[in-house]
Amino acid sequence: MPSLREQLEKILKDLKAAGDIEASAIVSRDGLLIAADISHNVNAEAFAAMTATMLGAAETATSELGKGIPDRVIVEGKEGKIIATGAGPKALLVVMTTPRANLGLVLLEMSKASDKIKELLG
Amino acid sequence: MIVDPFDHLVTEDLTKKDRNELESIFLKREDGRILFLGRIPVASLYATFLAGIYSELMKIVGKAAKGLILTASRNGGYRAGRGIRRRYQRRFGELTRDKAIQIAKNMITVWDKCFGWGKFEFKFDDRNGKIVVKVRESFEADGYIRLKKGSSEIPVCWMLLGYIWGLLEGLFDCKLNGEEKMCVAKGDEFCLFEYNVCE
Repeated sequence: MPSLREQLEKILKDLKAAGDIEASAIVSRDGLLIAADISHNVNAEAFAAMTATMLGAAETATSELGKGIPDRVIVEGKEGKIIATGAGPKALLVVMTTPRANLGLVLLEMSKASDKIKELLG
Repeated sequence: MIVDPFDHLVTEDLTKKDRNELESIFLKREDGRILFLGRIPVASLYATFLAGIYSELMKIVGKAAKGLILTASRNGGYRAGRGIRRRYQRRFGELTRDKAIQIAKNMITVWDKCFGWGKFEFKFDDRNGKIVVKVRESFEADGYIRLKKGSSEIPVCWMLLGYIWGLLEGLFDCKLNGEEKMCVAKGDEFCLFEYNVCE
């Protein structure tokens, strides 16, 4: 039986195999790294804190404006996109994509992965 | 003979020294300023100050505030630990695990007795590589309770947990896992940080 960490890392590996995804991470809602498939050049802990902050700030902003809780945050740049979405009450799923990634496909794959993470982490 | 305070930090066991001795070694008062190690300005703050910042930050980014403070503190602690390690290596050669642990204990003793960060007990279990730091009177937990006038649902010593975490990683030159297992702000008797084996 694989450990929880191994199961989470498998989800990230499968996500990458679906294409267009360069890096991904599972992050706790309070910004701590749970699992990552990220290049060693990136400070994964700092990345985790940043992405949780992005989503947290977006949630505060939309709540303040009476627009409910956002499903995801998408940051688009010339070199690629960063997408952060909830994966249950305890975690977030974050991916970095290639510049020309098929957004619809990536979101679909992220949705499936988020459900699996939610099952594992609650 | 003038001895560099750094030499005291890395060559002695400071845990038995009293506050007056430590202050005479590490703190210099100069025109109203307090200098640590003879050159680094330090300042005292209200215990509630950090708790107030955390509270305001949580209003903006929610739970992610913890990750921000913890990561920033961990990075700061890492830079301090790495700086001590490199300076030690230049002066004295290899920094062994035992020596790194003694230096960490010395640093924590200085924070305890000179800066009032809390009353620390530091234990290293050689069998499983686990480091346990017990803190009584953590100024972060105390600040939280004073500010909120009640208990917290989660541990709140983010800066202390992160700074010690990074300090140990910098001294040992490897990654650790860390967690605050108990916190006075939650109603526990003391705060307890656990750091696990290097990769």
